[in-house]
Amino acid sequence: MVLERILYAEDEPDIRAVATMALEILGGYEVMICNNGQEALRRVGGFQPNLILLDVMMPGLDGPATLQQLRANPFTAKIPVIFLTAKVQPSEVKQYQAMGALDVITKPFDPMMLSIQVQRLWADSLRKPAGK
Amino acid sequence: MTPAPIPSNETQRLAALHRYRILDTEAQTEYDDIARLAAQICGTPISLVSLVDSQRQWFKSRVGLEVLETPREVSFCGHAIHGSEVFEISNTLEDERFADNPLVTEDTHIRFYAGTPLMTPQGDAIGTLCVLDRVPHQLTSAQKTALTTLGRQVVRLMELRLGLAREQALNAKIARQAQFQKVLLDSAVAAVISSTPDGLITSFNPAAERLLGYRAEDVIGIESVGLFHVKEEMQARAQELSVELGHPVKTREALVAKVHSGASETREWSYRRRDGALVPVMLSMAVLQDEQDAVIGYVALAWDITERKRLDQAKAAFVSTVSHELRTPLTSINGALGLACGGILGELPPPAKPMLEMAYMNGQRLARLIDDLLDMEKMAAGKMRLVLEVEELMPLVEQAIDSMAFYSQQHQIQLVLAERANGVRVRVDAGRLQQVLSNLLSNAAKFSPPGSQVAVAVRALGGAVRVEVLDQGSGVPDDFRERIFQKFSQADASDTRQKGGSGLGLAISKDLIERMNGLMGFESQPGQGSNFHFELPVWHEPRAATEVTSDPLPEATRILVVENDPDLARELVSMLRRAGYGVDVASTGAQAVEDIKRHRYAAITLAMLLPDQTGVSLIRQLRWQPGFEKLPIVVVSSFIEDGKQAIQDEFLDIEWLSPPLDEARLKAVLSRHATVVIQAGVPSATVPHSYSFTI
Repeated sequence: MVLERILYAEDEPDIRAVATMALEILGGYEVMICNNGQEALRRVGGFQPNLILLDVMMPGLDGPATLQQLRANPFTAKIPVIFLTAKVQPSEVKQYQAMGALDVITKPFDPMMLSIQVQRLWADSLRKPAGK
Repeated sequence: MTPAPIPSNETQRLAALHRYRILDTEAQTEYDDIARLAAQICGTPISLVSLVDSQRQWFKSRVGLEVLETPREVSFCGHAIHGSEVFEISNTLEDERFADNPLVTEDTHIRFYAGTPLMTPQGDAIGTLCVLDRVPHQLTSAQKTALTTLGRQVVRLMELRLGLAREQALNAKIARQAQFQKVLLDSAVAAVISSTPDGLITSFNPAAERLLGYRAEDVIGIESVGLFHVKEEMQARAQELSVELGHPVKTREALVAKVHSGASETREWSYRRRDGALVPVMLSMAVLQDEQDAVIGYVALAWDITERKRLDQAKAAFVSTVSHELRTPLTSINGALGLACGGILGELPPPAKPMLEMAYMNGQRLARLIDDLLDMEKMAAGKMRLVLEVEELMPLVEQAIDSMAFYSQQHQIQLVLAERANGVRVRVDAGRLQQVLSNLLSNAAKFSPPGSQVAVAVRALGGAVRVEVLDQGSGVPDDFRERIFQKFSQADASDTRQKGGSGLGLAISKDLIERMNGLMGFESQPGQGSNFHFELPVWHEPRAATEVTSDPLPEATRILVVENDPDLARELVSMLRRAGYGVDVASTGAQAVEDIKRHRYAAITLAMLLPDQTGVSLIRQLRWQPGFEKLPIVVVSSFIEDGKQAIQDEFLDIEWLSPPLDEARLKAVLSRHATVVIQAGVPSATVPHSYSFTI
């Protein structure tokens, strides 16, 4: 399986623009941008992403809550999820992983490395099953 | 007239006299009664209690004479104090020493004198009890005995008064101390609670009343543990202490188990107030002991830290929020600049490129500063948690070098991996190790001249692996060496602006390496570059240690080898066996502590790096445990310089040896602590008496 489609939920328009450009131009991925968790849940079925990037702190439905709902739905339960967050606590990383996230990418990220990082994590996920 | 000579012990005699503080005091009936009795018994009209001062004789009591004092040179008593018996002049006119004495020739007309010296218990004659008459006279031996007896009574009276005065002074002093103590206790902000050895409250100051909501009279005599300590907390602490001290600690002993003479313990506890509310307190516990060192009670000092904890939490929340708020815009800024500088947005016009690169570099610098501040905050709050996992080292080093590629290009530095140690595994927090490497590499790049090389060398040495970052910079100035690992330290204040950085990087790195059970150090010659390095214990599957079986030798001849590297351990074991010692091996700090508690070792050899802790922390642990303060320790490690740097002058009785092992030196060092005598092929050993192992 090849990584082609990424669904990306982020409430900060500037960060969204930078990350999208990095993923589209450098990675060549098709990126579906969502402004928040609710939108991500609405669009995930139609878009059928290979991978989901979720910002942790979003108004309304935040990253972890979105992940829980994705996991609860059998059609989306297997899609690997990576968190993006500016709050880096090792305990939080473990907590997110325990919730079923593949990993955490910390902000600020290196835009030149983002798609490589995502690709690497995606490749890792193929070796081990997503979720718990 | 012949004045009496000055006695040879005059200075001491005068000091003895002045000690009584009696000169020039009012007349007192007790002395007058004795004088009157003396006159009556001896049948004389005059009797005196005369004290011989340096220039005069002064009469504490006088019967039949008006004068208060006379010059010393005309005094009869000046003569009498030379002897220990009654000094008697039957007829002064017939004695050439006194015939022309004014007391004889003038108004007083003294014809007879008999005086018994007033001898202090120390044997100094300070005056006399004397009787005088205006006609010649002679005392019977009974009268002489009576006079002597009365003289002794005078001294006894003076002694009694002196004792009384001393007691009064002492009482006054005690009263002052008690008052001082009361003021101190009443006005103290900290709660002060004292108890018997069994924990029954003996005093409870007003601050304690305010803190806990009880009145002193209600709690004195009651056991404090049941009253306001939290049982679950005590139980948990008791369990912790049982593990730490290696013997079972009862719940009620949790407060005082680590408190002994000269060592108080200060830590956080919770108090339950009378109204049931819990208060976090900082509690400092000290022991009271009598002259024989028996415990007679404990004193607890406690202060409310609710406010401090609230502030700490508020600060942590603030730092966390601020860092998040700072990182969010920084993510856009650095992201946009990164894409622009990376050429994703098309070819940049030549004047714009260096400017944008400069902006991007500074954006990254800002991001690192925020990380450093956040890390420092976490360390200060004790919230830095590392997740240690067994990892292969080289990929981590290579990744760190890769991630510094852009940065080193900016500084025109060539990063090279000069030496590798393939296949070596370490137990680390990968992210944090990367952070340390990035820090060392960025420092090296920052302080190197453009066009020079920064080399990374990874080398396995015995049970450890050493990572070195070598630069060709200006080196560490001498006056900065001491402070280099301190927070917010920079060689030169102007450096901050020149080089950028928070001054936190090395402090954080050293702390992180130590949390990964490693050591960090540096070597540097000003002008010749620096070598910053750290060592980590190599991870071995836990099996090697058990290969060595215990020897059935007496404990006093046994050495414990604490070594993580199986090869070095084997080498040490065979050397020690050849030297006649019995040997046990422990491959971790925890195992070593367990073995040391179970057996009596003549000495231990110790590696600096162990999988679960550093040799330095093990030395501290042992030196602070009763019974092991003097256990001879020989550090055998390639990193003794870093070890010495870490220990500084804390403990002086540690021996240091670095491999390759010199068998003769090892034997020589150990023989200072445990001598082995080989008799008929049977090794035996004696331990010098100065080392006692009471375990």
